[in-house]
Amino acid sequence: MSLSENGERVAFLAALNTVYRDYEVYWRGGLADQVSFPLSMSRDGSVLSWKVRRPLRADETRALVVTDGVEGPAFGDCGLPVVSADGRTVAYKACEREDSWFIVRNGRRVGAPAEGITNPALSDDGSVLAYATEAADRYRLIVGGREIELREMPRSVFLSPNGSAWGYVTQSSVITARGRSEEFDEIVNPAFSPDGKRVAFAARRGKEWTLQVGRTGLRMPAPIAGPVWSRDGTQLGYGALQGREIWWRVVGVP
Amino acid sequence: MRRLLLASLLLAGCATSGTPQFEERLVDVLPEGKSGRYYRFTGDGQRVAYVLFDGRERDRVVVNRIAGKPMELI
Repeated sequence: MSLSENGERVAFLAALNTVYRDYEVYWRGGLADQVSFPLSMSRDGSVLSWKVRRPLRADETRALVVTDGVEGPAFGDCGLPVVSADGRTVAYKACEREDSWFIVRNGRRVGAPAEGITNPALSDDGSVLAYATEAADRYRLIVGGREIELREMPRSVFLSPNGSAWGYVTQSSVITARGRSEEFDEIVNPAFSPDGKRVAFAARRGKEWTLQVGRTGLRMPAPIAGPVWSRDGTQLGYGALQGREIWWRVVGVP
Repeated sequence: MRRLLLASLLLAGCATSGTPQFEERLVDVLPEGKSGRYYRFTGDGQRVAYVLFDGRERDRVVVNRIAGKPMELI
């Protein structure tokens, strides 16, 4: 399920091959098509993109990304698409062979193929693209075309809203140009503040969850959404479930 | 539903052990006997959409309290 920031647009998947948008059937694939979720949506909900796996022959399937009902090129496999907040850029990883991955940005291949690759991240206006690659036992973070050597392969990468700051998540830590977080058992939704100077994320150690802002941790219940920064960077919000009650909590950030 | 009336009311609270002040808002209540998944909030946290399950694999309901239009999918 996807929801626009203002709540006016909603999209979801049903029966593996049917995409609903604002409660109407928006796109229906072939009977054997399998749509992956979550669907990716621009901030205002005007652009919607999703991955489809489609049988080609009895022994072969192809993967493609559909954006606003328009099918992109088919590959051996691909990742879930990422839509920039402004809806102008769609990016995803794709491959023809399992050991040769690349990034596709608005239908065009970007960068050199790599043995391994993360899903891409985009700045809000889509102008900055970031992803990490693994090739010949070397790990690189590529941010806006600039290469940064890494000691380990990230699980995911993320950018500040304007793309000026980068970060990535390893098995147990969040790492930015400013340093490395403590280690946790699980890390959820790392996000830069609007000015790109701070990172917040939900983290689990054992059964205990904390809302991390830099090295400061605040105990929290297991989140069902977020954390997300307020536009002015002074607050963090997250969703929590207490019994049958769905709560939104807002924490002031000094 | 009475508790839902609190949705517009921000309740001031205090986190454990002297940690910063927070506010919390009751946004919705799941119907009795059902569970939710895939929660999505609006940017301001005022509203939520989610998939509602009644425990049977092929009988699920998508509820968007925003539009107030529950929809049954088979």
